[in-house]
Amino acid sequence: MSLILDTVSYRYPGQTSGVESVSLDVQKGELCALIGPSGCGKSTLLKLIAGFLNPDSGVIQIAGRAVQGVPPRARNLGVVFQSYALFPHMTAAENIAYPLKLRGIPAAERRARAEAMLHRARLDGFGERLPAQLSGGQQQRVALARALVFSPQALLLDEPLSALDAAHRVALRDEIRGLQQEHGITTIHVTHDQEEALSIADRVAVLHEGRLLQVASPRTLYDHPIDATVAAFVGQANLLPALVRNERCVETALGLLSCHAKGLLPGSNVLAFFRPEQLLTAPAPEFLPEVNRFSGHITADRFLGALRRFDFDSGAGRVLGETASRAAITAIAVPPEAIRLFPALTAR
Amino acid sequence: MVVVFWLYLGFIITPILLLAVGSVGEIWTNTLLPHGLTGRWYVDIVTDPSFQRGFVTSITVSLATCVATAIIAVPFAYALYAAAGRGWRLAARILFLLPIAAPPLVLGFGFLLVFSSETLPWMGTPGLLIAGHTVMTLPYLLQTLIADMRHQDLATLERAAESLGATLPQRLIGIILPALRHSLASGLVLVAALSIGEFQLSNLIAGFLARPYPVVLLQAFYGATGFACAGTIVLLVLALAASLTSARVGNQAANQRGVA
Repeated sequence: MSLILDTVSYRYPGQTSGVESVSLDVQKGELCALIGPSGCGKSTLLKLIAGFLNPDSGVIQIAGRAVQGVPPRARNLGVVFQSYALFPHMTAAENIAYPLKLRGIPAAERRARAEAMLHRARLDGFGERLPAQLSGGQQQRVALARALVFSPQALLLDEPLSALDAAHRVALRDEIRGLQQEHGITTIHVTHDQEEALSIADRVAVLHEGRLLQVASPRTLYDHPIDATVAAFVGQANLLPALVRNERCVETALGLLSCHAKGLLPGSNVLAFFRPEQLLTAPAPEFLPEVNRFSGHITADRFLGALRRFDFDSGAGRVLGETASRAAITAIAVPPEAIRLFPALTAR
Repeated sequence: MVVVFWLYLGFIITPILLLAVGSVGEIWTNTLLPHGLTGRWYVDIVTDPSFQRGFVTSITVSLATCVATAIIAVPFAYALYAAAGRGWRLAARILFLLPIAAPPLVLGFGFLLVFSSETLPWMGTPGLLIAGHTVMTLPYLLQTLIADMRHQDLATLERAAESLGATLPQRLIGIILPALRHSLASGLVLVAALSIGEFQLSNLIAGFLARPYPVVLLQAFYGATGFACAGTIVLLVLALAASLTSARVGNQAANQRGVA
């Protein structure tokens, strides 16, 4: 079942926030993550798809059918809320069986299907517990099971992991992906956690101030961000204000950087982008290529286990770097092919 | 601070203790404490026809008030909770403050003016008494329900139910009412306690044959002190039992919602 948004716009009454002309095509069985900073409109978009809000303009199609005016209960979508929204007076099994009850499925079959879902969600033995007697992770799994048990046309996840601690988040995002693939269900996963999005999504859509900036596979999004905003939001990034000197070089606070600047007017303002892990590091300058090489020292060194993230100060400018090496660093080099130039950011 | 606390406690407890002592004292005139020990005042209360009638009236009015407030408060609270506009929120706030801002006496005089007329000759009827108690206690139940709706994030629960396929009646019966059952029970016991103990309004609008217990009790103070004390203790026990039940139901609800 595909899910298509065609130039969908919505503005909250009396406010400037909302979404503007968003077009998105999520294919059958695909998991598409919606990411963006707080207030960018990602939850609004989910509410529009679920039917809790009606778009001011544009068309939403679910399985080829426009759903304008169709109430949420008739859209047959499984929704998992940020707060899980488990019914506090029902046990875990009753919560899961509730959508089946609404569909008139006999009690014996309801129980059997709820038990099967509890088993798939690794919640055997927890069916008779009330939500308040379950941990955050268990509640999340019950909410997911409840959203899947009635075989909905699509699954909408609204920051389902944000209330969990880091360790549970990592484990549960893999479980979500597993269940999603097992059911082959078209899914939209809203999150502000870019790592979560990149790790489980087939494609990631980046929203900023209500507009969709880029939709791409996680790798494309990371390696080839469409602009500086996407580059800055997805992963760690160096974005140095630069002035184009000629088609082979730009001037930054760090110094002159050799890069591919063909087609840009000399004198124009740009942003030089490269990822921290693309920096080459060495204990002495002579170990590095001469191009884009800078000497200096580390001003902040963060040990992150498998790698270290550091701020490097050349005396003229600072960059962010990442390396697996634990050796001293007194020189860095930026490979010219790692540098991409974006137009300087204007107030969006 | 501790001195103030004990003074305050003493100020509240001393009259209650004196009433309890007086209710079992044989004679109490111009002395600090009564003389003799007797249980006959309680027997007199139980066998007195006007007190029996007053007791039955109070229980009847209290139960009817509970039913009326429940019927009105649930949809009203939901409408106020769901209303996003500032105007509605202001209306809700005014409503909550009404029992404090407008004392029962004001409401009683209003009722006297309106319902003593030939057009609306309902002064002294049990129906008007129930209506008066409903108006007075409704804001307390509303406040309890709306606080619980906010605490439970009822809007999200409703959205979840709607996304799962529930219609409005299904959501009301299957989700909203069960989710609110503890606060509704707790609020209704509070309503019952307030209604049982209400005097000011009832004294103004109750008919002679439908006087609730507190109004009948006032007459007792014109007679024997022990009799009046025993009557007051009965009222106190009733109101305390209702209040404690309300608190207990509220605690149970809070415990049930606590995250394990």
